[in-house]
Amino acid sequence: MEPDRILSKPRSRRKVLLMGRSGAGKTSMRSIIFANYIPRETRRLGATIDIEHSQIRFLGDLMLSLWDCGGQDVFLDSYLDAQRDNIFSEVQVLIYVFDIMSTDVERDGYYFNRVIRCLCDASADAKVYCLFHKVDLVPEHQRQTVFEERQRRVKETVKPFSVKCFATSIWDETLYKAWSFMICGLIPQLSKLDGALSRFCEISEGDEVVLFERATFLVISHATLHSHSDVHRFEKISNIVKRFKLSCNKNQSHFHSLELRNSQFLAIIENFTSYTCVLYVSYRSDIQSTAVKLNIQCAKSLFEKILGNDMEPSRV
Amino acid sequence: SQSNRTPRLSTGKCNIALTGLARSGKTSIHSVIFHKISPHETLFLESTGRIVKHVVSHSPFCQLELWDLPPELLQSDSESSPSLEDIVSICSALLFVLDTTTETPDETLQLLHQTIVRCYNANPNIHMEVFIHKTDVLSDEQKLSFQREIQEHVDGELRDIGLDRVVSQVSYRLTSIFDHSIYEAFSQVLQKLHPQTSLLERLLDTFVGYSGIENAFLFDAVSKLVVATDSSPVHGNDFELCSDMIEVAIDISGIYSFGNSRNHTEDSVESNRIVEESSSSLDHWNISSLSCGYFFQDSSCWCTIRLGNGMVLHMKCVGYYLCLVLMARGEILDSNWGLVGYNVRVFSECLAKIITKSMRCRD
Ligand SMILES: Nc1nc2c(ncn2[C@@H]2O[C@H](COP(=O)(O)OP(=O)(O)OP(=O)(O)O)[C@@H](O)[C@H]2O)c(=O)[nH]1
Ligand SMILES: Nc1nc2c(ncn2[C@@H]2O[C@H](COP(=O)(O)OP(=O)(O)O)[C@@H](O)[C@H]2O)c(=O)[nH]1
Ligand SMILES: [Mg+2]
Repeated sequence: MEPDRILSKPRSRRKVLLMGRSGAGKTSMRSIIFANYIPRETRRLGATIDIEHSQIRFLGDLMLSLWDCGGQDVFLDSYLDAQRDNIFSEVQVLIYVFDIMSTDVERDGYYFNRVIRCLCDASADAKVYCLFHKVDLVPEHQRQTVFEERQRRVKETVKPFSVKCFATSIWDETLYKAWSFMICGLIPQLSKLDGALSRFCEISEGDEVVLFERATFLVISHATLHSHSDVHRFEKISNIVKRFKLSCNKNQSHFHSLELRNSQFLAIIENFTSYTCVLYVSYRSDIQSTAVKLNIQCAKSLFEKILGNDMEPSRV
Repeated sequence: SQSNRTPRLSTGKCNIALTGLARSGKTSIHSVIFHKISPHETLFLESTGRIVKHVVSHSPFCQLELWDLPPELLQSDSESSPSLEDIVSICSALLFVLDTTTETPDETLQLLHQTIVRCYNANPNIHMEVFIHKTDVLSDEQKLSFQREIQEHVDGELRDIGLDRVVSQVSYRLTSIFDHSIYEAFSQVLQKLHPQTSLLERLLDTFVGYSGIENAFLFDAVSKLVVATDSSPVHGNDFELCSDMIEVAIDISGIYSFGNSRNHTEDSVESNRIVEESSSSLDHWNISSLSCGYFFQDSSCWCTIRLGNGMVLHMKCVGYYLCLVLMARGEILDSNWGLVGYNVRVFSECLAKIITKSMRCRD
């Protein structure tokens, strides 16, 4: 573990650009994921003027520098011109948001194309993600077709980058799915975490163990013993727990832990390391929750080590 | 053992008429509470052109027939059959949905007091409820002044025509489907209508007193309406927190029970479709087939949530699609689990007696 920690000591800073035309929903999604807004509250957001920078500490060690770029045409024109060098240099991730209901597809495509060109010049190894947002406004039976059509068009434009597309909405778990995926790609210790979590799952006789980042409740890693038919379950749980946490906050309290049991399973959600929560699930009826909690306590220090949080972060 | 079937109470189903102008939110209200449509999905609801009866068969204390009435019925020259009078004469409550965002407030108010008078004449014992709706767009101050204005107007009109005694028969509630207010308002209507409310309240008071806990709520598990609470004061959003807890428990069990939630989602898609179909005819359908049904029949089901301020929420399914949620201080509960568990059992037994007794009365 030792060398690992030394390597990660200088906090890794990642520049993430959040772009797209005005009203696409960029500030809304950022506010929900990182600033504990509830979806309904986003209606009050005004248009973003120029760029709003936020520094987000994720899992203790990872520093996201998120640039929410206001999307009115005047701003976009200036990003692509006067501010070009400043914005597109040293980008690790570009998240481009399209309003799936937008009628001005041509202009959407025009700006996207230009953004990609600039990115290609300045940060050719950045990762590109496209979000087709507000799918809740598309009737359910049309969603898949509309999404595929849009995705096809984007994939043509985006060369030489490869792109991963998501259909998202602030009203359901699709938002968590997309953001978990995008942020996980930035975590250096991910494969180590996956391995350790599998071992923990095995030792504690669990059927499924999931690791969440504590503040955002984005899924970081999971270990699953039996296949499960619902592939979106982790994002659903993120959404469920995050909603409940907000409800607790409204009551001037905060969520601490959950234990749920019926004749089918036992589930426990607890704070784990300083920056994570863990979900433990077992289908065994003879499993003792006190034993599970003890196991969780015991595993803590190992995971703190992997995440590089076992010492007070040194300040420079 | 606790039943797998939901028995009905002796009173049979409670009829509630839902009225209001077009687009006021009638269909949204019952779809959100009883059919588990999420609030933003109501955007897709089509206008209800006909009388639609929705049958709600949840717990024994939540057996309802909701009559979603088209606005034409409210016009005094309407010749539709059945008429508004025909319907309210079999109803225990009239629920008038008043849209605060309406562009014709004067007309709406006019219609409101006319409707109240007509309903009173058709059925003098009816409870009348005005849901001042879509309040999510208003500030707290605006909400109160809205309510005051409407109430003063209607009271004045009623007094002018000598119907002073009707004034106290009308309740006003501020509601929105985008927050918890709609559940609180509908719970209060429900508690007003079912005859066992005070008995259940006394039972909960006894339970709370003997267990050393702060509050206890009896929920209709599927709709998350409160059937009864103990009489100690409820703090701030505690009620909302308890109902959110039930939702968390349902959602997580939906995912991990049988490790299979695919059936779950298909079920709910299916039921959405039925709603749309039933809006074209006088029709009824039953919600108890919803997949969360199995969750609440599992009497071994419980959930505990601990909060940062030392409070603990504990939920236990007590059968008949009912669940008991209690709030207590952690240190008190942790040294008393045995006693509380015993009291929960006694409570469930009493509850079962109340339910079977009222069933026997009916037969
Ligand atoms: N129906 C629906 N509305 C959404 C969704 N996401 C955001 N919105 C709404 O879209 C509107 C605009 O959102 P913003 O987040 O301010 O848009 P933006 O991309 O930051 O716009 P600029 O700052 O001008 O670039 C808000 O009223 C949101 O409530 C969604 O998933 N579904
Ligand atoms: N802002 C807001 N809109 C609502 C609320 N309730 C319903 N609506 C909207 O009002 C519209 C009409 O609702 P609907 O239920 O079809 O009205 P009905 O004709 O009375 O049955 C829909 O677009 C709903 O989304 C609410 O509490 N707040
Ligand atoms: Mg913005």
